[in-house]
Amino acid sequence: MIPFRFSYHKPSSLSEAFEILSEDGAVPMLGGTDLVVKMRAKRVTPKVVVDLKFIDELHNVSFSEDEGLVIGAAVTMNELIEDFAVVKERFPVFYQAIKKVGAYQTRNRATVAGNIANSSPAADSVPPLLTYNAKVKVVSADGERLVELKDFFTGPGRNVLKPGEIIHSIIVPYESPSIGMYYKISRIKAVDLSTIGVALTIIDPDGKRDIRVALASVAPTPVRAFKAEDYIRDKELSASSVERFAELVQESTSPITDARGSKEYRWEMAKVLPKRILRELGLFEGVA
Amino acid sequence: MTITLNVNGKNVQVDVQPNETLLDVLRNKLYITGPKEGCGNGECGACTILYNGKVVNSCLVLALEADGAEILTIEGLTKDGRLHPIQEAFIEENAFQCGFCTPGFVISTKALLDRNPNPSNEDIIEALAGNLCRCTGYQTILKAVKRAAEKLGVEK
Repeated sequence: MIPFRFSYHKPSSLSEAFEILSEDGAVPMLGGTDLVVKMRAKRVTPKVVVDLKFIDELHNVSFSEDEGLVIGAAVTMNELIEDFAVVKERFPVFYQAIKKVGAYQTRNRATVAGNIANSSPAADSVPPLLTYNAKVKVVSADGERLVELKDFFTGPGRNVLKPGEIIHSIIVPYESPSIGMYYKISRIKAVDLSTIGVALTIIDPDGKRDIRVALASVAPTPVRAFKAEDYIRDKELSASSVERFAELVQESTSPITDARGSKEYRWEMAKVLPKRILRELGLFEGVA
Repeated sequence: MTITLNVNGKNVQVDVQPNETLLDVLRNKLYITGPKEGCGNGECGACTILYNGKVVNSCLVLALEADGAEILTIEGLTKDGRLHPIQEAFIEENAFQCGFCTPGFVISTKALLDRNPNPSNEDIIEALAGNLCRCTGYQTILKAVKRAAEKLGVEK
């Protein structure tokens, strides 16, 4: 039982949704795996819950090399990775990170759009999406706009969405084949938030070899380590260059201490994990 | 508001409030008490049910959303007073002690074996990671899932 009263609506079209969302105290809902938990604890107390999962157009998924992967807001994480092999084939680091979200039950309800809209610094699906230069298509009664994911977050639980705006879809451009790893450290292996999460993606590993890194749970928002990426571009992966690269990844973070880990531990792991991922990918032989 | 649910093969109509979860309605209005409330936050899996064929934590589904849904709980596995092979396997392997988590584990196992009749240890661990057991240490549960897979394989 949720300990307060509210009304619940399931619009079947975006225009109907916008109308209800304009009511005082209205919040959008997708899978509810964050919102219902917060409501049960009275951390969020909406007057009106607008369930978007009955809107057909939010369930679309498409992929083409030109348009990239487009993920409708209401597509559950399990639908995405089980029904669309392209996710694992073309965006392997994103695929790995989705499998680290909650548990199987969670992923039958949770959505990538919800993970983004919830805007937790610990959102596992976000670091890989940052490395793939994802964009967020935002819609409202007034029209639509495209926001770079890297510009979407403004703080813990905060983002650029204005009242009445919702995420319509996530657009993940396809550049070339990629390899990489999402490395998540958590207190238990499943159903836990990350103490730190590192996505390291290598775009076009046999060609231009663009190494990209983004991290969760080490700053007020998920962060991408652009300086480290710039440093390592066109450099051989030697012991000293990888060390400097890892230091620059570390310097892109500003961790705090919380129930899941200390700031010192997170700071240290922000340097260790990029090296460890490169080692596990067979690209670096040093200690990590 | 009245919603219609198909619970364990039977259509039922029930009056629900917006702030009730599907778990609340199953337990307190339909007296289907197999699904339990452990954490109420989607972390423990004791409330796991099959919802339109997919395993979900029923504590995080708003009852009004579920209008028209098809629901399977552990009560629906028993046919004509005969236990389901998954239930038999859990008993034979002593895969529970207090039993609070068992309905959730059995439903998660059912969903796993429906989509993957021959799961590896890794597959089982992934599928059951959202179900917590504080008694068994999980080894007997792993064995029970494997035994259930064998039983269901022989049945086919």
